[in-house]
Amino acid sequence: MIEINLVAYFLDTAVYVGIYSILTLSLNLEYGFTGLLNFGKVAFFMIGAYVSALLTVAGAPYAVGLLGGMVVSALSGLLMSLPALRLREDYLAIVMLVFGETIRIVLKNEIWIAGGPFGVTGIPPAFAFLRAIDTEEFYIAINVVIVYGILLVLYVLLETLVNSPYGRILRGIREDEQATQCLGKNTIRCMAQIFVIGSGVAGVAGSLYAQYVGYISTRMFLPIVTFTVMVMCILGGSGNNRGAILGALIMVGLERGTRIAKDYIGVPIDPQNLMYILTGTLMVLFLFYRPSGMLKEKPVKQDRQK
Amino acid sequence: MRKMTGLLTLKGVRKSFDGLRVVDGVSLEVKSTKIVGLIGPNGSGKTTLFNTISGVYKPDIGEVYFNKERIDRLPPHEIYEKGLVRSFQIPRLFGKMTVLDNMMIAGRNQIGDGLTNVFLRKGKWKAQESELHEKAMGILEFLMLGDLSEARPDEISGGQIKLLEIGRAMMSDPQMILLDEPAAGVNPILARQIFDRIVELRDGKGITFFIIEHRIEFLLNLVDWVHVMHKGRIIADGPPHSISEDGRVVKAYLGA
Amino acid sequence: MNWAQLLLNSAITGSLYFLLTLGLTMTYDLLNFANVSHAELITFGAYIGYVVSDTLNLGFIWGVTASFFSSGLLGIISYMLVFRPLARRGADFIHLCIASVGYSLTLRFLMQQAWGQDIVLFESRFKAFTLGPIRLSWLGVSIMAMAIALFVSLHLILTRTKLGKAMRATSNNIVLAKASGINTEQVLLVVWFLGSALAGIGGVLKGCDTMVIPVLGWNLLIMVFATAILGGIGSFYGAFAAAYSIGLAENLSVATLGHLGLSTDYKGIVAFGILTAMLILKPTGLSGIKVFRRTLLRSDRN
Repeated sequence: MIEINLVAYFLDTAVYVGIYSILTLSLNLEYGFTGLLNFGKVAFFMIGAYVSALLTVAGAPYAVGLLGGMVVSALSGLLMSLPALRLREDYLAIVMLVFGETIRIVLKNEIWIAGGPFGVTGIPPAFAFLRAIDTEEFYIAINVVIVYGILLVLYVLLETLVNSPYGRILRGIREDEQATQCLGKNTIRCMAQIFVIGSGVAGVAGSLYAQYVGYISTRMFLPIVTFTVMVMCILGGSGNNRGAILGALIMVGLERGTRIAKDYIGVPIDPQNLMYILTGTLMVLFLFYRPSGMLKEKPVKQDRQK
Repeated sequence: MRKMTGLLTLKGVRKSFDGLRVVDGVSLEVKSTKIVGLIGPNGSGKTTLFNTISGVYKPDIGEVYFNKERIDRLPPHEIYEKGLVRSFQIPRLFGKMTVLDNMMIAGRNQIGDGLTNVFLRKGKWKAQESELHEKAMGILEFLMLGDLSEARPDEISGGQIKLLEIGRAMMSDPQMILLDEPAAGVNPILARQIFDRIVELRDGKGITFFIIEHRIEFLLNLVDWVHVMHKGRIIADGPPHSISEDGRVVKAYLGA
Repeated sequence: MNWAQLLLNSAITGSLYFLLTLGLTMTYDLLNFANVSHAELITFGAYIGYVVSDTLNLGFIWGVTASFFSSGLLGIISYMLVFRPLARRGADFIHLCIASVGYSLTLRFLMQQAWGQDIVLFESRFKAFTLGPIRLSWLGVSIMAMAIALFVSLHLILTRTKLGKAMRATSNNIVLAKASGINTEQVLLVVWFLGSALAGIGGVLKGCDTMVIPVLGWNLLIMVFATAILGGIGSFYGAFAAAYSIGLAENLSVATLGHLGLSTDYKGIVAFGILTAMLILKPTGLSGIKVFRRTLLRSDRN
């Protein structure tokens, strides 16, 4: 039996759940509410991580890194989506995948930008005083606070957004974009805004990830991350922000679970393989039986005055 | 140049698809506070004409004027904002939204539609939501759909959906509504009701209606003026009684 | 710059892309969704080919035959188990696409579990020989020969046989075809089988040429999509032309990148550029050629 630090383990899991929740919220905004499929989601996660990493390694305070990551991701989202917004959803998705992969390949091969395949190491943690109390649990616990603090803020902001007339427009775009246009809504501008916000939020997740893990390289930002986040969105319930968090919880649980199955129960399947086999199967099954996910979409909240 | 007296004026509008001239040089006028019909056999280009007027298509040649303002290069949402609204032949309601939400989304100039306003002017749009709510309920009552406000479109009947399309068009207090076969597939009694409502709206609120209907008998008692379309062109126009006796019109319908 | 060698390499690459893309472009057209799991049909063909030809030592020809039938079979299973039932339940093209993503993950990691992540190399059995300025191997010759044979036979099938006519009618307008008495379901099954089988052959040939890894098909997928879109989704002749164009573009890129001292990882970027440019600048298709019969723009849909 390997000795494990249970407290650290659970806290660590919590951090990942938090970070993936933020990523899933961003995908949910784009796909769950607005119907925009973005196969390049991981690219914005990556941009946020890299920008934040480079800024903080160069000495900037963490808040600057976080903001920088968010802004550059958001801008990238705008630039990448603008040319493709009028395309049908699946072509849009493919174009975003292609753009994202291009950026990843450039980052991987151009060492002068960010270390190429060696990545960026030695990313400083968020608060200096973390180095004062030198226990693993404390370090992770602080990160839990940071991540969940930001998650809470984002959750509130996003819930406000989707429960407003603007949120109605998003649902309209999702159902029938042309009809929504014919009802006086500037759908193209709306979709561009959603990509900006979605990419920015993914960038925030990237920054948090970089500063928690302390080291990043392009290997961590392959398209499979996008697909994993999509599963989280679909499992939990697309069009429901609490569902997004639930989906993240389930998937991280699945990842941890398969590892435990291998290490402690002796299941003879490689945990990574098992996880993705289950993930893929779950995705297909949910599309069969519960395409709306576990938590149903709530109607736009209104004050009913009868 | 002939003076434009109509609320809606079309000049030489042409729209082709794959080389086929679906709308082939249409010029017409729809005068304010009138109910005007657009009839013609199936395939004569009526819906395409409506699509071109409402901005879904851009005309290849020709101009469209609304309120003396040129609108043919504008996107659909801007045309809506100017007070020209269009309903669809096959109603395009939002299936995952309630009837009430379907109504409220149609309101014009909603403060809450703007991204920054959602956060910075929350009080204002919340207040507007209450107003929109009241207005939507008012229209629903007028159309006798009041108790269906929380229902989903797939839970209500075809006729009610048709009425709802009209109700939605009314939400923006438009000057003019383009109705594409408002009574299609609806039983005669309900059709009568729909047309009665249209007359009430013209008389009460001064809304102009331009209605596509390929069954002449419905329109002739209702409209002030009729345009007849055949193979992309206007072949006749005039008051209803003269149209029904016009040989060209009869021939067009028989030949179609 | 050895132009002759470049052109030969382009022809080989193009031939391979033709084999790989045909199935994808056809199913994209007929069922109206982007089948991401097509990548796994490629990989599966490579692994089965390896097992039959090297592990069981039955020789390459049997390996290729096994790839053909096993990938074809896997394709049919995919259609009947996943995509057809979903389509019947009313799933729209987005859901089918997402389902194909999940299904692709399942297949890929099952294969990874079965054969591991390590590189699998075919026994090198194809002798290389020199013909003037160019150097090629019998594998390269086989790839090109197979592509030509495929093109010719499919052209004949499409234009001379009843099945071919049924296929063209179904591709043109599936509702109309069904109404005129064509058994569209049979056409769909044939297309799925054939397209998947060809992907399998492409996989085993590619795997033999380089190596077999679980992401073999996935790494090729973007190029395959680029080929399909450039040629026009659903267009057999378009796919042929596009495959060789992309093959040429890719090999030109590799040569140029080498000269410029840049990484050859960028070779795909030219195809990415072509793909993106096609979709963004000319969404209604290339001038003169009615290449895009699919609705590319959301606004075209209604």
